[in-house]
Amino acid sequence: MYTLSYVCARSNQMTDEGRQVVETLIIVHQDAMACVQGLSEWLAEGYLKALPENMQSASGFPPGTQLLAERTAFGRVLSLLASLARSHTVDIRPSIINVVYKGLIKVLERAALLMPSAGFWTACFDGQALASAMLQKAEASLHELFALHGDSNLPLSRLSLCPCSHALTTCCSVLQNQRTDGTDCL
Amino acid sequence: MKTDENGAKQIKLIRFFISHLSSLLRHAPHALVPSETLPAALTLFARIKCLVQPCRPCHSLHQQLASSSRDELSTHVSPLLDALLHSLLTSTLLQPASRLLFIQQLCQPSHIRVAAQSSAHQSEAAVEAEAEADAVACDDAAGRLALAQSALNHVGTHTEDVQQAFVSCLPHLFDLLQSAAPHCLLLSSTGTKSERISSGLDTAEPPQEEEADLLFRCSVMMGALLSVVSGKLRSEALRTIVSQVLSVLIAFPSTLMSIDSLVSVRLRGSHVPVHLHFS
Repeated sequence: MYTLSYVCARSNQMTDEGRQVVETLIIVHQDAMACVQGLSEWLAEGYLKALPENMQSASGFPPGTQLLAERTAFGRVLSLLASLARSHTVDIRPSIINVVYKGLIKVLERAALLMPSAGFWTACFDGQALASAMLQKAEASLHELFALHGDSNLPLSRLSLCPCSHALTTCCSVLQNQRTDGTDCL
Repeated sequence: MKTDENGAKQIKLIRFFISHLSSLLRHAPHALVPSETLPAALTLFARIKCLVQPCRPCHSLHQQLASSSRDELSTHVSPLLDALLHSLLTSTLLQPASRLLFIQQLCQPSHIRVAAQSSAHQSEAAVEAEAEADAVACDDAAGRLALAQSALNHVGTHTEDVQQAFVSCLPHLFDLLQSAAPHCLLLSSTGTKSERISSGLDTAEPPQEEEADLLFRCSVMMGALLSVVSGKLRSEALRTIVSQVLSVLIAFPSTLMSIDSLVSVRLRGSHVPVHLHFS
């Protein structure tokens, strides 16, 4: 019980910190790039760099518990970043998603050194939802390319994993539920 | 001009997404597998790939693209797709059974071309729709063929179960070749020549070069496979190839001389003693 409460507390604390950044992003799109850069920088440079030291100073808990807590917490913030990337992939704001992806991939690169467990990724990072969104947009671009040249009959394939269609329940993340414009994904 | 600019923008977006997808897959390999997304993703990759030389799409899009866009597709997007496919085939997260399924999906056309059932009562729209469906199926097959060819070029770097899966899928590959026949038969002589040079087959040009290209590409792919697999797997592959080649010969009897010379070259190159008797 003691261990679980520590994990939850740490997780909630980090989620709140991440959410604050994301909420700012939703309200003011002009600041989106700076916010995302801030979030990814904080994850890659601040949090991950300080992690070994933080774990050493967190006395009183077994190393396994600490690691579990950090992985869970980090995973939740990473999910926020991934859902942000997915949301903007769907909304297609190229200048923003470029920054989001670069930030996300940078965080993944750094995290892989510290948290290489496959179970970690599976548990906390919904890569499939993001990959599906990216494929959807690549297909939409191809379709647009055909339409531009007067051939709009190209059939769409079945990349039907739109987050808002609830095909993947994990897609409906915090960010998705907080959309303020009331529009559908596609 | 505006259309060219917009087209270039869309191609850049495609490149952008495929590039980031590759990075994502590298760092979080479970992102795509296992997933119901894979078959549709393969179809998408094939559609993009068929816009790249040496394919020549039945749709007129390729000719309408600005040359810079065509360059972007062949120089950047196509290698990204090849790398992505390679990552998927080497991913340890794909179990052998899933890998076989994935390779089967790669080697099978997404649409089955049905024989034309034209009749006097068939409306013009229906005939057009049929032709359109045929063109899409043909492009899809050509794109898959290009992806499969890319994978087979590096089949030696893959595990034995991947090689076994490709050998098991050889009949499907031949089906794919025939579905993509209009592409292969319409290849420009320049493209074919460079392919010949890159694969070490720059021999005397046969007089019916374009007509022989279907079988040339077939021999390149099969040669790549035969040169890396060994033992029992090679025997199995060779048996399938010979039987499939004979059935192709029945479908394309005019290419008898070409296939005789081309297949012989590849088979000799792979040090497999073989005697084909055509009667």
